[in-house]
Amino acid sequence: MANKVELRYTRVSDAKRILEIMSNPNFIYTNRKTCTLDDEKEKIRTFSAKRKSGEAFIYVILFNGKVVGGCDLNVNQRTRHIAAIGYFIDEAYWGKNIAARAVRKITRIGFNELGLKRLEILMVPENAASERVAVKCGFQKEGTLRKRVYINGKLCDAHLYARVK
Amino acid sequence: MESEVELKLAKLSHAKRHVEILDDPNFLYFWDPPSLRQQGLSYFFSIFFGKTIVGGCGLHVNYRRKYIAEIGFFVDHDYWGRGIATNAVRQLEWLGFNELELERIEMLMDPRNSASERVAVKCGFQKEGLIRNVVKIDGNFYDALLYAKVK
Repeated sequence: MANKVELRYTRVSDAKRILEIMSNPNFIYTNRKTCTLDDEKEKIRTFSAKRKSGEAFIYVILFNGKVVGGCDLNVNQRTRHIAAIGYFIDEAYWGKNIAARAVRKITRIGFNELGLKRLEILMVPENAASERVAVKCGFQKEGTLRKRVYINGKLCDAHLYARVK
Repeated sequence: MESEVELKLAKLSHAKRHVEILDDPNFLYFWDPPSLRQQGLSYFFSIFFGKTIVGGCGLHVNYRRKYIAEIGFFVDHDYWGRGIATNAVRQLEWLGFNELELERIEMLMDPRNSASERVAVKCGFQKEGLIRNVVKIDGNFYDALLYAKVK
């Protein structure tokens, strides 16, 4: 019962907590534009339509019932058997294996519920914490892709990790 | 010979010739299911060698990341080994980097498709990895080599 990790669909009422977590200046490896509470709420309102169309499945991560991060599956609309996984955790909860547990759950959702055949995780090479999560969850490195992701307006290389079914 | 290879935007009237070329059983490792073309910005060209259509090629811009595109191409078996694909890819590359302001161009190919791989290498693309289960054809999933060139 102790240290329970759960995923649930993100709700508009999570907006404030998500902003609180993401406004941490230590999140240097995620591409996120600063936004207001209203922007965040507006964004969350689009999530149910994305779910219905099968485009994206966006969750908050609960640690013993408290929102401590987020985790999502973005289905590639050109090749619909492939999705990309993203995640973030409140710095106060780093080092507790929460991201890995969340990624295992979302991996199961992707393969077993959505019937996907390939899940990808991309991270900049400096993001060792994210890379550890990918390895722990059984993802394999396929390569380093040059100029693949924008981080704060700068085009960066990214490691590509994937798991297939 | 280089100047003889010309790209012209694909027209409906080219369709018959495209199908004729692709019906060749030597196209073992060519993938082009229509489902792969439905999303995003695409530029399709016929490859002319002199006055003859000898193939097709295209540039498909990633719908979520407009700075990335993928190149695809095919050349009539009778015209293989003349550097036509290489020439066509160079022209697409020029269009991509200079006109479309791309930062990254990708090429995916079947790991057995060494002809395609040679074209990628000749054009200065670098191998970044083997991407598993990336291509779906008729319900089956296949791996592909990923080559890329960046600006």
